[in-house]
Amino acid sequence: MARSDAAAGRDYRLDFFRGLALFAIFIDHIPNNPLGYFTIRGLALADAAEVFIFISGYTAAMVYGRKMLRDGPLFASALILRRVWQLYVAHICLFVLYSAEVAYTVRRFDNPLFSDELGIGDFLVRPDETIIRVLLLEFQPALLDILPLYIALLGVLPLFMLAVRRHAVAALLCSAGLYVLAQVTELNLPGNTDANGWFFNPFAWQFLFFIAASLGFAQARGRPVLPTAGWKRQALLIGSAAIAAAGLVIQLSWTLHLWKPWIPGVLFQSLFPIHKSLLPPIRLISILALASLVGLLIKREAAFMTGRVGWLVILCGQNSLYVFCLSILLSLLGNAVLTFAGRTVPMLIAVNLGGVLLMIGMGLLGTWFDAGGRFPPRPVAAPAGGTA
Amino acid sequence: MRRIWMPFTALLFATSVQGAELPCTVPDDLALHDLVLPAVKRSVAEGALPVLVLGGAAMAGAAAGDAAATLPAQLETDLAAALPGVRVRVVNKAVPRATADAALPRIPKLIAETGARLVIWATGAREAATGGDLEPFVSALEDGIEAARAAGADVILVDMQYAPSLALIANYEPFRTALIDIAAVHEIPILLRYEMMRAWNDGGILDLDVREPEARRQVARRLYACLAAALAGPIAAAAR
Repeated sequence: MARSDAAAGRDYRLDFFRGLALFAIFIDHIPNNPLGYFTIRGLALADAAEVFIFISGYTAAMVYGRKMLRDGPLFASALILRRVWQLYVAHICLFVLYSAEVAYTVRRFDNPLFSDELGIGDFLVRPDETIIRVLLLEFQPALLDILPLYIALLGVLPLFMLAVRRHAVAALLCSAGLYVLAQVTELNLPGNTDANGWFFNPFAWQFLFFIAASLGFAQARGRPVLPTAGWKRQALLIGSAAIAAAGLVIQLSWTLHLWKPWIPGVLFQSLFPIHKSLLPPIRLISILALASLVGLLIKREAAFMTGRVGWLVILCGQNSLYVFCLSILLSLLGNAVLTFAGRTVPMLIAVNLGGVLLMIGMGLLGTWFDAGGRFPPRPVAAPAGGTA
Repeated sequence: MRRIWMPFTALLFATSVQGAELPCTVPDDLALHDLVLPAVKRSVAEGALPVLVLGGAAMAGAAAGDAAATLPAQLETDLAAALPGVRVRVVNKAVPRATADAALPRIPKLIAETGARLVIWATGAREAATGGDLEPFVSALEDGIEAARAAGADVILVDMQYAPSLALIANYEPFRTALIDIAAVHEIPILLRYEMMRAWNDGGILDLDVREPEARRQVARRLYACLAAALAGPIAAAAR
């Protein structure tokens, strides 16, 4: 994202939590990774995908919203579409790398005992059909499903911003209507096969993205929505905290239930499995509650974010496209390493730590390039002035 | 560390035991225990045990290269030996790459056709390989269990095969966990095939990564025999 908004005072919470979400995406995508119990998906009824989509929607609308207000809608839309093209190219590149891994694995381990059962690599048998489906964003193998969602959402962001500028409530109501329609009819775009659609149903997930986008656009217009004082702030704070706490208890009880079956899984029967594809209201409310808590309780330049360690997370968040693509490749690679070398504790530590360090390296590299071959200084933590 | 030495210990056994195979005993914590199969029990008391097997390629058994060496065929032999005087019939209706969703509409019809009093249902591998949402899998599985019970049959679930190398590109865990959870919720037995195969592979009993075609066939036959035995004993015990 454009990162020269020093005048407006950069909101480091966006970079920091997007950086954390990128780490979580890497960690969660390694099968059987014990560390996955400690990422957001183990602590809330939402996971890194919601965080990523929320922050991306907010940031995109804020950054491009400012451009729209300054340079007009045509130029802002053109910038957004250029970004969409970059994401599309990144997605195709990831797909080629992923296919190479599958092709290698299938070729090397083609044992009829397993291969008929799984049908992995079927898509390599019909490359003519597969290539077209990939270019149309229909074919989305596991792990390669979130970028297409982001591409689609960003692609319609110019229209949404124009609508919000006219009438914010009406624009959001349209988005909500589409969300309800998706929940009821399971309307979806064509996916891997004709039978199933996109894993991240874009008609459902657009609601989260556009809620965040309208908040980000309001920020760009200098009319932030989040109440900063008074009973409204108190009510929002208490409500969000209650929702987040309930989510924490429920999710923790499920994790503990898996580990020790005598621990009851709270509401397990009625809530499990949470239908992630459709972003059901429970997930939507959970992520909005978490976002409100961060917005209300954490300062834009809080010391833990701009400190030595937090700053590294921020740099990852600021270079999100590169770090995201790397995280997907590292998940595949990490799983391969663990499969061959065994899922021992030292190997798990090495893979998780190594992956996070490489992602930080990518964040540093991106920053170094953007700053013309040097590292810009960290912001000096705002004088605390008595309160934390 | 243990894994590094495993091929060497396997080699040691292979040469010193001179072709004799290690028995595929089922680790105690993985074995089926004290099954409650009322429909099976009633049926056996009347002198017959019709069984229906649903699943994917692993149950269809092409890897064994011989219909008599598939898991269901070997299960029929084992059950007949364990239940003398009972007419045991195991009907194999597995279809390669079948999803739970695809199997679901066939269940009532197949039970009516075969008169099955026991349905052995292996599922989840295809879903795990293609990735995707858990919810449709879970609801198809629950509906299938209900349908089988409503048609008067007991159900035993079977989870996925352990495939040491293909774990590279398929994540079984969410689907396997869901299978185990559903078995617990509906109080039906589940054969932990994945863990059993892993134990046999890691213990040098079955080499699941073998490359040569004839050796692969032998491994498949042996694997199906081991799994059939792991099912037949507890089923026969519950029937008596």
